[in-house]
Amino acid sequence: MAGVEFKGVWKRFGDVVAVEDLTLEIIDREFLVFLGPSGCGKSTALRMIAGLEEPSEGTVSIGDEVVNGVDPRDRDVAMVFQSYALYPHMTVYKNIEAPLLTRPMEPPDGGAPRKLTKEERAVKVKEAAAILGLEAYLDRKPGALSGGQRQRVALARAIVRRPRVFLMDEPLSNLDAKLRTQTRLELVELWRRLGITFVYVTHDQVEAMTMASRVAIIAEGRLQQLGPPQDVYERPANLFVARFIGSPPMNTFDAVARPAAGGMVAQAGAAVVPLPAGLGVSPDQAVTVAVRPEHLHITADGPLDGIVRSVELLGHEQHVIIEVSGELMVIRQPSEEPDPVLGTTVRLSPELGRLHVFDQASGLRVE
Amino acid sequence: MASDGHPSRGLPRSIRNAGWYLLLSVLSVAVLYPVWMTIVRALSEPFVYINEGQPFLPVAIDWGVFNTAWAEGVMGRSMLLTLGVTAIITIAQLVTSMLAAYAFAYLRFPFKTVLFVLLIATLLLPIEVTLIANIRTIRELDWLNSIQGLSAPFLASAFGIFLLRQGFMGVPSELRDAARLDGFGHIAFLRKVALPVNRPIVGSFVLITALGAWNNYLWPRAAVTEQRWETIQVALRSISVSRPERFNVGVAAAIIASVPILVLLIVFQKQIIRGLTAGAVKG
Ligand SMILES: Nc1ncnc2c1ncn2[C@@H]1O[C@H](COP(=O)(O)OP(=O)(O)OP(=O)(O)O)[C@@H](O)[C@H]1O
Ligand SMILES: [Mg+2]
Repeated sequence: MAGVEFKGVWKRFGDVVAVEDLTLEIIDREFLVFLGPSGCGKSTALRMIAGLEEPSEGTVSIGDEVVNGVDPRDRDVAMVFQSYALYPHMTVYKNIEAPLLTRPMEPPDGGAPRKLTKEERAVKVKEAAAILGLEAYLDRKPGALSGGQRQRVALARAIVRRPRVFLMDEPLSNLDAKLRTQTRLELVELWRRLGITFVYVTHDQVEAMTMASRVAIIAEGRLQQLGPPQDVYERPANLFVARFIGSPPMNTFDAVARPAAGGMVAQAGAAVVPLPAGLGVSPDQAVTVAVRPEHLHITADGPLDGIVRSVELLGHEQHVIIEVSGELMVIRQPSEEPDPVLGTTVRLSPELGRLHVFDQASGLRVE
Repeated sequence: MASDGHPSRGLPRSIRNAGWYLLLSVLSVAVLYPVWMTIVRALSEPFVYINEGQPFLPVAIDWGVFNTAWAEGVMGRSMLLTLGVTAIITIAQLVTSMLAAYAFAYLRFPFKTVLFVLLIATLLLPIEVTLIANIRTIRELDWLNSIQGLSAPFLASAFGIFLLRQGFMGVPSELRDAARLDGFGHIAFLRKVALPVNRPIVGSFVLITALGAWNNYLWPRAAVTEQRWETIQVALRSISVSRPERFNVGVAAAIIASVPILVLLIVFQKQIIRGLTAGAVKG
């Protein structure tokens, strides 16, 4: 069992900086998710753990060992790829068995690692196949399996040798929505059962929020925030994270901090929104105020006003889209609330304790 | 709308099908006619055949002609020799091509593109261009009339390197990554993944190489001066020029000489079709 540590890691491809100065400790046995938009460098980070890419600078460690320059096969990690990367000409059985052929392994009944016999390999293959419910398909070739089944074979091939670290690069993106939801649960189950470190790459925040022990949010090669999903959701460290996490996304507006009777306020044009007491803003500081759609309400006397542009009914809730001084804001409310009339002017009030304030210049959260 | 769901092009499906069958029939006749005429000439008594004005059906049939042809000269020996040379050339080309193709497809080394172009260009020179120089080399090595002399110029193939390199480059990079994590080294990856995944291509290549080696004429003609080292194609010529008036024997010998090729074609039938259409359909 082992954690993974990045220390000052850079990865450049010619002029492209894929990963920039990444320092990050992945704790032993946690389920860490790299989350970020396409092209942000999350796959590259994962591939550096696997040894498929070498860092341009900095060190990657697995356990206590620096693994820069160590061949992928000697790192004791396993990986599941987006395309599953199954050997198309081998049966499911042979696919799962493949990683056992090339290295010494602990025999099924314990003891020092050595080359396994055919029978011992069969025990391990069957065990992995049983965990993923593949017993019935062992003689088939990948071409004769559904997407979900192929994905299971890829998982089985990865767990069969009980690696120290289990890497996954968008393993669910080729599945349909229903299967994806189901497999999410199964992956968490698998993680609990195996008790090994999972590192998982995705651009889908739902996957990150539902599975991760901690999320590492990456944008443009830089780590933006690291923390449990709830923390990241409730206390985004910067504007990027604030806008990236949550669906529909946070509402933001630019304002200037002003002292007023009873504390600081954010002034945006004619609107004046009180800020929480004790917030570390200075007078005249340019700030961006953000509030989640569920924390913005239509009230009779709210500080903001806008025109109702559309209402999206989703059954259990509705999204009201309101134009506030040229910007669109979204309110998320239970569908029992009365439908606002399109084109009318309404007043909005954010929940005071739920405001997020960011320094405009740096984009960083102000506490 | 046509009933089969395809947009109709004005003709009912049955008529269009009839058109296709007609075209295919014409093509088959064009291909089969020379084959048939070869058989007719082998079986017919030559003088009767000429007198009758080269008829379409065999005349004065003599099945013994195949025995005669086999006994004429040393066909058995020639075929065995050619089989050996063909096997050497085919195996050698497969091995050198897959190794070179592997390097050019997967390994990183300086001047890769330049080297690749240079290698292919050299190997693409037709045998006629290098014939004289090569014969001199073979003579200096004292390899005239020898197996190594017959095979040496054909141990590497631009075609094979190019074909296999294309095939190897078509292996998805994630599959290569997976193999690295599974612990496959270069040789294991080549043997267990790259080659099997490209089986149709390898199959077609083996077939095409073997056909070429079996049918070699110019080189063995130049590199052999003794009758016992004649490969089959050279021997065929000797048989037909030795008794021009008995051309049925020469033709029968040619038919015998094509038997191994027919066997090869039948065995590899599926491979060829898949290989020739490889890449046409993603899968
Ligand atoms: N082998 C490579 N050669 C050159 N550039 C590369 C290479 N691999 C990645 N890059 C570049 O590095 C950056 C990060 O790529 P990476 O694959 O890590 O992104 P990602 O976050 O996984 O994106 P996606 O969600 O689309 O998979 C991109 O700009 C990409 O073009
Ligand atoms: Mg990626």
